[in-house]
Amino acid sequence: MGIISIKSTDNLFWLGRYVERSFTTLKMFAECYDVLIDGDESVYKDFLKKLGLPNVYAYKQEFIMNFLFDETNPNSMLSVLLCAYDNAVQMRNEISSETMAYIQLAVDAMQKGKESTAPMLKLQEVFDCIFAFWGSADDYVESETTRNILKFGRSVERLDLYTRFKVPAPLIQKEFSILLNRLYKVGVQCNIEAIDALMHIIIEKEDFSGDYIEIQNQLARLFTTPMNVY
Amino acid sequence: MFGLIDHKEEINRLLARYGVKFGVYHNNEFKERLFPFDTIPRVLSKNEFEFLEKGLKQRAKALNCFLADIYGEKKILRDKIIAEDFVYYSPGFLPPCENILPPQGVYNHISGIDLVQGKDMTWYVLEDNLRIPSGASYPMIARDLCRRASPDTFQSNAIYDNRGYGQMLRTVLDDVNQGGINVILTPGRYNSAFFEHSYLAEKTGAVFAMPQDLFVEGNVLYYSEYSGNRQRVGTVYRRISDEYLDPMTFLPESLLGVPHIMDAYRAGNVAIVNAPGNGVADDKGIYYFVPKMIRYYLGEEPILKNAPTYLPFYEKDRNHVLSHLESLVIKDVSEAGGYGVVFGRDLSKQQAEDLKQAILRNPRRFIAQEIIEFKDLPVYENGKESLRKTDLRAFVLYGKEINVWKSGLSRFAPEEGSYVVNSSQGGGYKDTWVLSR
Repeated sequence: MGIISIKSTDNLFWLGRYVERSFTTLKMFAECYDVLIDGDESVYKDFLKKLGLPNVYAYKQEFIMNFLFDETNPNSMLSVLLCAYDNAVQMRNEISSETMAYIQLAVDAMQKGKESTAPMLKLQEVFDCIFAFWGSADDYVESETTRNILKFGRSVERLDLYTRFKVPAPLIQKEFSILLNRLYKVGVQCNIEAIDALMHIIIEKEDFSGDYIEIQNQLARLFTTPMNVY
Repeated sequence: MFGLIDHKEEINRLLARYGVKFGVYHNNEFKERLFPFDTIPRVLSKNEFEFLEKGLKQRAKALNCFLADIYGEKKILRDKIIAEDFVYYSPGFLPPCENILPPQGVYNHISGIDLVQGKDMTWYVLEDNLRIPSGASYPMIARDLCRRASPDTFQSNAIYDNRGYGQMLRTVLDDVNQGGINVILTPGRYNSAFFEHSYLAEKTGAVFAMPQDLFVEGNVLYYSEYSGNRQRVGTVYRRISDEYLDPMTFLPESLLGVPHIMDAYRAGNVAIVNAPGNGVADDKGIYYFVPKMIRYYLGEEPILKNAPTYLPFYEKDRNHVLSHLESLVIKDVSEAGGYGVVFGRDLSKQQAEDLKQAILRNPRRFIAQEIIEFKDLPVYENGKESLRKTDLRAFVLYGKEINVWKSGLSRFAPEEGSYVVNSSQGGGYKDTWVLSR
């Protein structure tokens, strides 16, 4: 096991979360954008509602450009990627310059998208960079602990977003089982009651479609007391 | 070589990809800037480097003797080789470092010595940076990309590989290690040299630490793991200034430091790289005395020259400075990074008068140097070559042995005719090739 401090664990966990947040949100955004082409403006309002974000946009074109590229908007996709970058540069020695470079490239692609006449095409580069980031992490990150913490962050974020966007239950169950596996490998202290509650909902219940908010709440409690090593 | 020039933009793009940046604060806002790389290298012949190497080792050795003396017996002051004022009034002189003997007796583990080559090909030392000199990582990563861009250039020229700096640094950290892990301590993400801190951690294999990761117990420094375990630290390569290093010893309001790290250091339980208190030896005023130190401690004639320097502290020098201001460059000893450097010839009448008054009020605060017409080197921009003043920061690493890195950071001025090469002032950098035959 590599030598990792609490601060580094936090950076790695949030790096995983921010990368996943940009990836899954952009995927969902692309679907929303496609519907918007045909003029149904309510779609973007619903999209924001699912993410729990206020609708501060006057019209759909403003939403598209601002939500994607406005650096001064903390909820924009560019801001999320910059948060990922902030954590990545602090973890260069753990994740390697090669792996970190893909986050820089994703930020660059996003920034170029703002200037592009076809910004949605530029998003493909962002997806490519994120895929490459995870591939590079598997290849270049020597410490298994580091990889597991990163991927644990990814699982937490993915599960949260999957419930917000109401993806089919088997996908949520699959992601939860990945999360449990990572948690076991990482060995970080977490709130055992929250884990028990999540297991009860996702594994034991036949239909948990009415429990999505509860899942999100329990995920948010993962690192609040009472703590125990899972 | 043409391969390198052709691929300059691509190489710079890749440097950006790897986050090769430095931070600057402007109007209290932190911004990261790319450090423009010019692919035309500075080339040092084998003989030229051997000459520099000899002079740099001599200088680093004498400076180390000075630090050991000044925090110990102070013979150099008793023998009146250096005026006491220059030591005791120096903000870099730290009384809490008195009588601490660092591991292996090494103070200046990493010296960044700034040189320029005059148009007559003479090398002059401009500054000795003995606190936390930065810059080695930039040519290291640039070399890697240059080799990929133009393998023929490196096949057909006998150039020493400079990418072993990480290993050289690691050897120094190991040499002085007091039992435990090596740690690189950064003040944090928003430090101007953060890229270098994280890159060197990657290249040396040292653990990368923020201040909150370290604590002292029983005069021993530990690194705190997330699992609850702790690791003893044997060497800490700190990239935090002395005054912020330990709030119990230096600035009590410092949130960047590690409380009681100086106690662990004083007890001999950890090596601090570079040693606290080195600022007294890289004070711009003390620079004047380095040739005297070499004669005093080593009994040798200095191999490398200082730029001709005047200390207004001495009456004779002061009179000369006041009457020849227009032909001199005046440096405020309390400033760094290209700030506080004034060319007398660029001043208006009123500005010159104000500066003279400031010198008269506080002569210890300034030094004055003859302007060295240093050599211009070609840079490639906008499809053609132009000339820029370029300096060389050489890195001397001091552990069980003294070694000079066979490369260096060559920084060039942002504009033709400008003498200020600091990155914070908008300049760029070049690789430095040392030929092996």
